[in-house]
Amino acid sequence: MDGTDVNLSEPTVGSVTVVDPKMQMKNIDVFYDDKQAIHDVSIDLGKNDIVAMIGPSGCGKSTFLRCLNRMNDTIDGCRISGDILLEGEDIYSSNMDVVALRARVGMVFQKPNPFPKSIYDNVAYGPKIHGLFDSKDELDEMVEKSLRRASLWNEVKDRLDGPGTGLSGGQQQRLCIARAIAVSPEVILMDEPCSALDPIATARIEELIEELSQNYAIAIVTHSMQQAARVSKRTAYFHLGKLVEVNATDMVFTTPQHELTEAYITGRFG
Amino acid sequence: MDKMPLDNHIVSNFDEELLSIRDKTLKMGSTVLSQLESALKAIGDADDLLATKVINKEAKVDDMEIDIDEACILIIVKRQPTASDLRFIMSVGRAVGDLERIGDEAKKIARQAIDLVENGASPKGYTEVRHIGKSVTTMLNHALTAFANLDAAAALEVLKEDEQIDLDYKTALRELMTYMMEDPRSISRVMNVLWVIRSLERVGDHAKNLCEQIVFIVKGEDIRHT
Repeated sequence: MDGTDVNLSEPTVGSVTVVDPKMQMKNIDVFYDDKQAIHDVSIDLGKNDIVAMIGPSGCGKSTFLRCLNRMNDTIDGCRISGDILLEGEDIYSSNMDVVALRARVGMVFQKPNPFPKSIYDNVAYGPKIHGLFDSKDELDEMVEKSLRRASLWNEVKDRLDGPGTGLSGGQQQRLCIARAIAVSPEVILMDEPCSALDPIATARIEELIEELSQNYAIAIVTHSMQQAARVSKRTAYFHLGKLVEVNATDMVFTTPQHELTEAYITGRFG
Repeated sequence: MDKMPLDNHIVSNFDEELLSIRDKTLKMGSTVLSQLESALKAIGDADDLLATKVINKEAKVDDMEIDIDEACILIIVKRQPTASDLRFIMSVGRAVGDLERIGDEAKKIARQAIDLVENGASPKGYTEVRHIGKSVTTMLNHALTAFANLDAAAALEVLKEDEQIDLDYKTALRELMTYMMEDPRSISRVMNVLWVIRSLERVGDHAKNLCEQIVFIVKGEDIRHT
């Protein structure tokens, strides 16, 4: 395919809305100073949804993901317009507590980034700063539950006082997931959570994503199309800052509706 | 989109592998088409030598099927194809099965040709064989051209040809039954002809399957059983 230009006024192909939205993104534009990085993107994230965001480098998928818990607030010159609603509540309204928001909308990054603390303290950190427990026993319980949900408990239960940074890459990433879910979030954002991991560690995280979707809404940015095909329920294809297509993952990878999606997922550009 | 390209991948080897599979499938298609034409010629010319050649060549068609199947499996392993590439690979896997069956039918027709030569006198029903044989070889030819161009619109046109073939088949069956009732001594030979026509009708069905796969490759619509 020669033309990789995108028509910015063309509507997104596919099903943008869902019947039971946890988050609703409406007409989102993002600017870095004068440069527009996201063009009029609208998409819902369902309650037990797993939405994979794919697209070539620089297509805006990570920028968009970071809007969902206001991680872009810290970037100078970044402006966002449009509405992002969490359970109907505007997350960019002036009375929104950003720290509380980031507990409700947790994030897991590309590179595992445990705190230079013990495994226990990594997980306990969130509940401590948010004051989510009344007793040490309750905190212990929260730490164990989070580590179990992150499929890490059996591997670390005998060394909870050991440093989080002493774990393997895959274990560190699961520790970061445990840390994110310890504060009982409603949404988990994942920005290429497996790109620094080996295939076995990746398989464990993918297995975990499926389990986590029973309790959380998940949005995942990934460079691996196979990963998007394996783990997500819906796939969103971004191109030059525009959401070109969003549909059921099974459909996107067998019969994509837009020729740019087709060209990208079949490896004809990117 | 009515036509689909197989090339333009970033990885040029992927292009070459897909194009090679397409070429091998076309070669297999033209082999079974020529097998079919030879088998029909063997009947028309009472040429048992030609019929024997057709029978002997059938193993080559089987080898082609296995070779293409292996190439498809390798592509799945190495390239994890998606979308139109995936549909192409899956459909070729099915289409070579149909082509192999067409080879089998050509062989069956060749066997009947030998029987007819051995039975001597020319039986009735050759007109029907010629007529349906021509329709079926034309249809197969059109189907292979549609596959070569991955042209869904052409494939949909070819599908219509099968309806006429089915109609002609039913008419021919009635004719042949009449011959048998009129002259019971001809039953054995007319049965040979009947099997030939039955095989031709099956070839039409396989060509139809091939066209359905072309539509699936290009448009992603599964029109089987519709």
